[in-house]
Amino acid sequence: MKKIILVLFIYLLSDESNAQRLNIDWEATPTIHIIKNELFLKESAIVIKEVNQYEVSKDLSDQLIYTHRIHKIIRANDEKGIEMFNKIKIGNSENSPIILIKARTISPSGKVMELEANAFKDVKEDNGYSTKIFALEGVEKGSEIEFVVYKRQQFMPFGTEYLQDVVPVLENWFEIVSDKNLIFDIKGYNGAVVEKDTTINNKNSFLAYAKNKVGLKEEKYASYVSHFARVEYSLAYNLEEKKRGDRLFDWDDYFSLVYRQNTSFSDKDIKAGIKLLDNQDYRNCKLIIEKINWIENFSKTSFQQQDVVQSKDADEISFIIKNKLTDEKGMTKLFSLLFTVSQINFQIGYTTNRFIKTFDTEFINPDNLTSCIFYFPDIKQYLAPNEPFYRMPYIPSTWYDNNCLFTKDSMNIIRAEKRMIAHSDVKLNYTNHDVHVFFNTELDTATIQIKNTFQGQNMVEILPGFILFENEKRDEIAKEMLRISEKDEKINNFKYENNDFKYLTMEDNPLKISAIIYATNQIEKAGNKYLFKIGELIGRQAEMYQENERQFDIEIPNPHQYTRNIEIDIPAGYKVNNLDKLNMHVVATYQGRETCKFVSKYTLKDTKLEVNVFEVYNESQTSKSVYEDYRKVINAAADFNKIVIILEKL
Amino acid sequence: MKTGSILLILFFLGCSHLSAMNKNSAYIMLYSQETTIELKNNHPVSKTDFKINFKFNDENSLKLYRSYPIYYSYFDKLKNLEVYTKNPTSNGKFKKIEIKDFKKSNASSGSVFYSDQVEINIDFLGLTVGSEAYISYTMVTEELHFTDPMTFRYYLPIEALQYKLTIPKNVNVSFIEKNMPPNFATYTKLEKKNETIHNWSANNVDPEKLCEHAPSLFYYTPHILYKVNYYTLNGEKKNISNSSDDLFQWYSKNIKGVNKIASERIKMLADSITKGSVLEIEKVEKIYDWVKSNIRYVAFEAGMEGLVPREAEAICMKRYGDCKDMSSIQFALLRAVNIPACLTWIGTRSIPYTYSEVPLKNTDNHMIAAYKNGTEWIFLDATDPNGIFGLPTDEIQGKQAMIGLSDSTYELTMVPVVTARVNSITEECHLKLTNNDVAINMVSQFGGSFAGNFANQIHYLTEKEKEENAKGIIKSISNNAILNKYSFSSKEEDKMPKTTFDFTIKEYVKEVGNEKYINLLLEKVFMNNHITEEIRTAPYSFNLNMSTHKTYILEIPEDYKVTFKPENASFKNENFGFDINYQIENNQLICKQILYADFPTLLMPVEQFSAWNGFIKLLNKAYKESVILEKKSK
Repeated sequence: MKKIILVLFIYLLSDESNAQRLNIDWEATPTIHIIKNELFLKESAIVIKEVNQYEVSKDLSDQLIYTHRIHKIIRANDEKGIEMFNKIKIGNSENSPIILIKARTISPSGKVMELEANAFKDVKEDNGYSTKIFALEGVEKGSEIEFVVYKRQQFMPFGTEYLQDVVPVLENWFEIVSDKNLIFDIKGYNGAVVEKDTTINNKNSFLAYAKNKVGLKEEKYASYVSHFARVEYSLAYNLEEKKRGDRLFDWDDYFSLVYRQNTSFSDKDIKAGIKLLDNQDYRNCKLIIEKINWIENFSKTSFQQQDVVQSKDADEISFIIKNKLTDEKGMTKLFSLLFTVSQINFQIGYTTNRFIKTFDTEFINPDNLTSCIFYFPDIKQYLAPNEPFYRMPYIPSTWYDNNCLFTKDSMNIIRAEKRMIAHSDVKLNYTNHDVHVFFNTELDTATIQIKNTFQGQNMVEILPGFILFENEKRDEIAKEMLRISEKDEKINNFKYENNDFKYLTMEDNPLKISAIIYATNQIEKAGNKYLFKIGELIGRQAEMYQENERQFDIEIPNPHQYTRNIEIDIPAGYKVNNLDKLNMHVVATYQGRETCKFVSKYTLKDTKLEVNVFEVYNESQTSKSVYEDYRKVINAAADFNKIVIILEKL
Repeated sequence: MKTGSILLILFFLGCSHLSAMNKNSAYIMLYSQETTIELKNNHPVSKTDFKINFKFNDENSLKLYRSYPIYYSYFDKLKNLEVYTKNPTSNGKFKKIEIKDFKKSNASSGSVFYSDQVEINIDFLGLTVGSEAYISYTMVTEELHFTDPMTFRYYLPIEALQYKLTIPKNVNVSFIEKNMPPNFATYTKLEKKNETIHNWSANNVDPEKLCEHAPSLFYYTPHILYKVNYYTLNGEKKNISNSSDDLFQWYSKNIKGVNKIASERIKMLADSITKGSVLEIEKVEKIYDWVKSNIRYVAFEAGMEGLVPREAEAICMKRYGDCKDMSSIQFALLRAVNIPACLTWIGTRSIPYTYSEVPLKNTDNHMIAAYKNGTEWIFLDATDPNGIFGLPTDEIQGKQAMIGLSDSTYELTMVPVVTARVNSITEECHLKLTNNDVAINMVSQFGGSFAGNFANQIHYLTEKEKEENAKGIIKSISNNAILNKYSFSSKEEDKMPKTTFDFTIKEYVKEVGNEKYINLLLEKVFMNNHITEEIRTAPYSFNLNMSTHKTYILEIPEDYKVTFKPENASFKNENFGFDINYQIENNQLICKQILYADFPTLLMPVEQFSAWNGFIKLLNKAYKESVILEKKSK
């Protein structure tokens, strides 16, 4: 019986393979491609051709499935290119098994070496996924690597496919082939071109491509993945089921589904939720905000969340409560239950990490509902349920200044509401850096009392290290954060204040870390004069002195500022020179707004030298047209690092 | 903008399972390993029962230690895995949760592309503060040429640690103690009629501390290895790991049949590679060069593939292989031109043992080929694409090699450690002032292992990336150095590769009144290498012995004179030292610096730490001295 089904299946495949526009197979007698683009030839490898075709059909139980056909040809130009592409991994799970796989190498002289069947190995990855892996044979500089894979894949009505790579791509094609009644919406980003859809042999073809795309390289102060050419697709119409013109799913449909999934609880679940809240500390909470804070901290400390939980029930409330372990979906559900039970009015929203891609809400692709946010209309605050180290009002900074969609309940009809969460004021995301320096009598060691204060997003991101770890390990982390040279000889007396998640929920309770550094590397000598590297007291600064031509706009996770106060006791009997360099003022502006700034000023009173250094980055996203000035501000901090004052005996 | 801090925290979070934690957070209540050796089908097998019990004392521990991995190989069988947690309830009792679903995956390890080693990952369920987790399982192994070391320190504190080994009277074992402090563990031995029971126990054991620049853990962590020397069957003594002879015999049996017939293709290839060479040594070098340049490292390790090299012809076709394959093809190519090459087993420096002391598979993880040139062995490790012929690669220096001379004979020999004299960097820097900027021409030449390391550094770079790499190198001198011009000589054109950089450092010179201050020592090698840990048992590990010879030549501007040059400074002992010397010649101020670190084992023992720190202190003092130039009065 099995055999008959298999034969039938192969027959179905071959029958339908004539329909689509793209032919997914390799040439019987391949030849090395001629590549004219000189710049591409200087790169480690070139993707000559890539095709991903998804053909929709029905399986024997009448369920929609994809046949995903992949064809890829890569030229390896150098050793690195060989290293990058001579070993290949292809996903191969029970749900999406590979049904055909073949791979070969074409040497520069045209010799073809095809892999034998036993060269493909099955691997189970530690993230729970299965893959088929293989190493190409006979690869040398100038070889082409080619493979063809057919997979049966679970039907997903939406998705994303990247058409650009870290190496140049000559052509990358994407096609969906479906029955005539299924209509997909498809949209290209970053230069991906969508062709007009056509019908051939009673099948619809939706086609997109990108051609002659450079290999993208990362840049400082920019997002990276968000710049790759890609297509997004979404099943929009089923002409059989709904009237022409009625979209199958829109955001309202999805969000009412999200709402239902997270608010329809069984009596048993509700009872379990009530029991979880049967707690004296919770009962002591009077205000809504106090209740939310309690629920958030309780859920994030009592229940652990991980990407893959080895159980099909991992999202069930009963499983979560019993086992104290769940995945993201389950955690969101647990939060919803507790807010429901405590009668707290909430909305569930989703966005993307804008460093991966900005959320385009105009295109209905639920693939982009990656990052879950709760919103509480009564107190107008946001909460990130799947971020164990965040507490309200903080959410990851890459979710701000990005589109979000929230469930909006109006007259018991759930709709999707678009919103953008703006960053908090730059003044709330700060680091203060206070140092007080005095010298020993031999003038070979500077004792530096250092105190760093972190607030806002600056605090959230470093806080976990100072909570999760204790004693030496925590001091190690603090040492790395406070140190002023590569390695200070001695640093001790670490003190921590407000290193608890609860301080995130309170206003103005910043994380404070202090220590004493005994610095010797900062003092140099020239004859009987002492050169003190005062600039290093602000900590090592990033620089952009020598950069390549800028590709991307400037982007940072969030606006933030640094205030540094340096106080130096000039040793008795010495005068200090070279102070004028300490006055700096560098500003970048764009369309009249101050984008970023670095300002430092000194005052000298008797034996006390005080330097105030202020650095601010006001915007999370800035046009690359301001790049040159922006760079000057970044470099100003690095220039400051190099300032030396000279102590001379009176 | 401050750099690096968030990454650092992520790093610590990522490797938290390695970190030593405070006893109050979590600890191992019991770690017990009970091994019984028995004869099965007339062959000894080991069966080990593991029990590991954890206690979770605070919320952090629930995040950091909530999962546990078990690894095993092709030679092992995992049986009877049982896991449960006991979790406190509000009425003061414990609720038991049994865990049945485990994540099973192929354990990936670094450079190995495919391995059949298995990782079972256990997620503890139901954990709250005060929970306990209990793991028990049995591991059966029929291959006793490797044994699991009994280690006495873990990543968490251990309340009770127990090792028990039950040996039947007809099996003979011995123990190799490594790094065991006196009275650290209690040992008892119980003789019974048919068996002997060995017991080690320790209580309240602190976790192992990881140190900077330390060699791998087994160099300093307390552990005991057992080896089954032989067993007696029907009055006949059968060796397993009595001495290195037995290990070699086992290896030799495994590889029997590989490359027995020299194929025509291999013969033709060997002839074409060695064409034009008359001297044997030249042919060896050509074959070594060909293999390391043409066979890429890709490791597939499944079943016996982990121990047996593939046929040379297959490797030649595929153009890739692992260390054994690269040895196999070198062996076959050399033999094809009648040069006696030997397959050679060796452990990389991550393994602290020698075959003489530990004749177990535990001692090695690598294979190379070897060729004897007169009385001197040349080690051919083709896994390093830029290895230098005649010099052992970094990872095998100082290690004992087991060289297979024939099917039945072998030789144990130590791979030499390349000395500081050979591993040298010679550098000349010309400095020219324009106001307070300094223009620098720096030419560096790399000798010994540095030549290979330098070639590796640029091996995988495109021209554009080479430029970025060059910028990175001068940025390590000063991050505001601007690169004007650079060149890297290739290995092909130069045995000792050379780099040339023309760059400018803005505002390098500090000026006050009529004086300019300039520090000539641009690169401050070892400046941050003082050892800060007050208590440490781990030696300090060097990747290579090294010496540098740097000359800095400052053109004294015409309108300036040198009013101060720093005092010469020097420190020398057998293993490390430096010399810094200033002199004025015509209109040039010349500073010469020599620096070396030279250890016969590449390890500095703890006893030398204070002398080392004294050396670094003197060196740093010299590094901080600037020259004063004063404007000539008109």
